[in-house]
Amino acid sequence: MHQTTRDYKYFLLDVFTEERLQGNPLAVFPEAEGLSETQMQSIAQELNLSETVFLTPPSTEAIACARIYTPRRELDFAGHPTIGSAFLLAHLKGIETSFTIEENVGPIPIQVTHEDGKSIFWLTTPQISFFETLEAPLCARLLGLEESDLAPVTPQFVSAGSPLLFIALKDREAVDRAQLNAAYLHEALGSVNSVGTFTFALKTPDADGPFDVYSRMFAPQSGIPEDPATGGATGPLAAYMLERGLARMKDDRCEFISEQGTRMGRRSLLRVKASVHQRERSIQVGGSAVMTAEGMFTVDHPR
Amino acid sequence: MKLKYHVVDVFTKVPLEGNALAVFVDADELDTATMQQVARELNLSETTFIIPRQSTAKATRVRIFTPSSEMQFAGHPTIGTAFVMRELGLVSKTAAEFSLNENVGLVPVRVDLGGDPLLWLKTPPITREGAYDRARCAAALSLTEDDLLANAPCELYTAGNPIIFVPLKDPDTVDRADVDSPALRDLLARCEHPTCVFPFAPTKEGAYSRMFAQELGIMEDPATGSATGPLAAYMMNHGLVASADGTRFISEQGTKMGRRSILHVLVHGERGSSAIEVGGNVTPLVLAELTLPAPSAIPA
Repeated sequence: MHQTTRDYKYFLLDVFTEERLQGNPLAVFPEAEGLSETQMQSIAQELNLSETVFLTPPSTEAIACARIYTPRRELDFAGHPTIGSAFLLAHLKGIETSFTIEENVGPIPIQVTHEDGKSIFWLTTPQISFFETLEAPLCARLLGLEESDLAPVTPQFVSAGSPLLFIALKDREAVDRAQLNAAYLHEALGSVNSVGTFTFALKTPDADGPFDVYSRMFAPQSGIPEDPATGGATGPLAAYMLERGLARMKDDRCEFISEQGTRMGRRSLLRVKASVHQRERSIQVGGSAVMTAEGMFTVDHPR
Repeated sequence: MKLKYHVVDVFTKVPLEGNALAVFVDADELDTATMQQVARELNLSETTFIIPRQSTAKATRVRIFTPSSEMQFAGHPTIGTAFVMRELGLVSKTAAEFSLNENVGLVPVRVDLGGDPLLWLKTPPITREGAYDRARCAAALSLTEDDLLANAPCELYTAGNPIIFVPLKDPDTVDRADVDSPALRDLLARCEHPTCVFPFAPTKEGAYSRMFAQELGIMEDPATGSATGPLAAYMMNHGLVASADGTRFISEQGTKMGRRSILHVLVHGERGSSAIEVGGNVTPLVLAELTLPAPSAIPA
């Protein structure tokens, strides 16, 4: 078969961190025009990161079209790939204001703010739904902990598209001790067939003062033993905390940082902004990223 | 600090097939913790680091990491790293044999020189450790006893990593295999070490294979160098391939998962009494550069 080869540049980013080798890794091909869907899937399988993004020219007024692949399949939308792509696009195109990225699910608006000379990229969390609660003893067993390690707050399934089980613990030390026991997992999937278990504690015990959250996310049922940074879980986390009084609005606003992945050596910082406007609650999750590697990929094209 | 690395596909001549490997060509300045962090960042099954400072004219020092730990030795990383060493001129392109200095000791690599050179590794001593119940082996792969090859047992061999060989009647049946987690846990409950399950069917060329190692966190492996020598021993013991000195055949693995790999086998001495070699081609794919954080930014 006659073939031509073409080189595709790609970047390896660490998302939800400003430190290399921390956060959640992501590969982005900024000029993926010409790659077939089969090639994109093969490349994502080759690179074996949780997600690989292929950017192509947009069909709308968005600044780019993003196709997101796991090693096994294409996703219509995902949080950390969107934040990472936004970071790279802003960097490569020198954009400092808010913009839109086109994904399979539709146009995704990205809000950009600036803090100490760094850009933070924000995503609005989709509509959040609350589902059933789960008994504390089962949740303690699920995490390999004692009931006394749990905070006095009822664990519950919450979803912004993908349902997750939220379990609040009494302190950071208990979060670090947690170890998911797969033997109890099938009892803890709920009617919603939860895709992961998110456990957390307030870093300081006072939800009225400035506070941050220390988090971990286990998703063996989705093929991920532990996830270093879960954008899609952090909006529901904020909603659950507000609902259960672990966080409170002040002047219709609430902001905090969720630190995730530290126990697995991939410290990530996910920023949360919640606000109420005309009785409508809106939650945004934001983060930055850092470029860790860049490479050139040689792909064969049939002629 | 910036570090160059290559990504190559091992056991294939086709890009995006075979078993992927990252090779860092100059890791003199990296400590062990950083190598481990980098291997986890890249998340390939293995990442290797060439350390020129600890290398001699006779052997190149190479360390091998999975995303979670350092390995003493591994097959596809050795072959892939040897390929990159030749490409970079760290060893002469005319050398028919050279050595890598891995944690386990010196590992000699033999080269069939030519356009698409085959790189060969000797399999360590192989032991045969007994039969497993046929029905339970079939169940662990969501198959039935009817799917098994007649007159060939399910048997455990090891050349370092224990492997249960499950002979199936044809390649279509191998493709139909799918891990049944509870049945697999049941099958492996008595095993002392993490054990992989290797279904295969004899073919005209040799074998059509797959490998599952859930206990090692590997759903399916596209090419398993360390299982292929023991596969050859099994097949010779049960008359599924010739066993004379000089016998050659191939095991095709990983095709079902879209990563077709060709593992070559060469038998030295009757039934491999002198050695069993496993060889493969390597295809370069990516040249990349990674920027490391300042040393103070790397948490201990």
